[in-house]
Amino acid sequence: MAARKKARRGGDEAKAKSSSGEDEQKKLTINKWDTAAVKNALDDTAKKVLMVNEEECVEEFTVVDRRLVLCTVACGFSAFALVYDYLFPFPRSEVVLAMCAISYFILMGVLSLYSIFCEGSIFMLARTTDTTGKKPDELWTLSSSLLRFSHHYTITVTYSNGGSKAKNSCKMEKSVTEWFDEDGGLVFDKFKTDFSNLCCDAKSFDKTQ
Amino acid sequence: MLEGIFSDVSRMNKRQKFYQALNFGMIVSSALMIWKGLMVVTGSESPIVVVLSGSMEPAFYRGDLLFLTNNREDPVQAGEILVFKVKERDIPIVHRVIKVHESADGEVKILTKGDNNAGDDRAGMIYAPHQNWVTKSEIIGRARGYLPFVGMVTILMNDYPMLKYVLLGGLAVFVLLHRE
Repeated sequence: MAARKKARRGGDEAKAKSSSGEDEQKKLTINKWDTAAVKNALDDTAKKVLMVNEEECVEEFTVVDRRLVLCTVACGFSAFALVYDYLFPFPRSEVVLAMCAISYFILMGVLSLYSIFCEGSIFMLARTTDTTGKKPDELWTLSSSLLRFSHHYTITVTYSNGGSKAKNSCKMEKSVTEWFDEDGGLVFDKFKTDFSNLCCDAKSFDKTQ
Repeated sequence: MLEGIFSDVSRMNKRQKFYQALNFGMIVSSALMIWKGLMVVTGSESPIVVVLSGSMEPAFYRGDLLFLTNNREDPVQAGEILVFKVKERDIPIVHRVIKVHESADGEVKILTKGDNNAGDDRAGMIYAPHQNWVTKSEIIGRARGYLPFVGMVTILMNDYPMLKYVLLGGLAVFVLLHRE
């Protein structure tokens, strides 16, 4: 009887621990009718799950940084034109204004091309570097799409192992209703399971080659 | 909806927050560069103006948007609609040229009148004290085209500054917080 009481107490303690663990993972609630919010919520959660599953993985910001630099330089041209025109009013500033305006629009064009061709729908790049240097780097690329009036979310995981130059992409297309409840709350565990399986498929496919 | 917006913002990392600020900066920069570009192309310091009074009716009404060019080599002719700024007054005037005097050294003197005014601008005290003519240096541009009614938004925002702050402030907050 004492043993049964002890087992029950142990069970209760375990339940308390698991529920506090779930409380720690605060439920993400968004406006379910806002397509951008839904996509961002799923993308952010995918990022989090990948970083947890692949502990040595570090996010790479080169793609994002390039876009930020382009935008900053463009805004810089515009700010320079504003200040120059204030100090030397038009028409003295004509040449400088013309050069700044042309440069700004060229940079906007470059940014659009970069966004379409280089960045695409990629929202995360992550790399696992082996500290001993024996194993090649592992590169994870996550990209997703959710069209404006659609409920089909497509996420693609591309895994590449630096040794074999082949890249492996695995895609998952599901309705967002599989992961969100009626109030717009994300069911984290379900998404984590689906996404983790997708990552495993991408990684395991490479090992068999 | 507000909760959703704030939850989006709270999930952003430093780079994403910086990108939100840059997004806002780029919208402002685009508008600014289009304006400065128009200034260069038209040669006018104010390529788009709003008609503020009814002195040019029935040609232009209060709230019409005017598109200006300012080609300094082009001679000013009577009948043209001129936009000029009088000394010590901030608001540009949109009136028609009724007399032009050109001297041999290239100096030009212009007399203007609003179509809907009884007398010319000299009699109507539009010019600065002791000023009898408009000179070329005071010209902002000549009207080349117009869009009716569109300028009423500008007039409303000038008459009710709170509307301006609410509209522009609201737009700014929306751009800064809404994640694409």
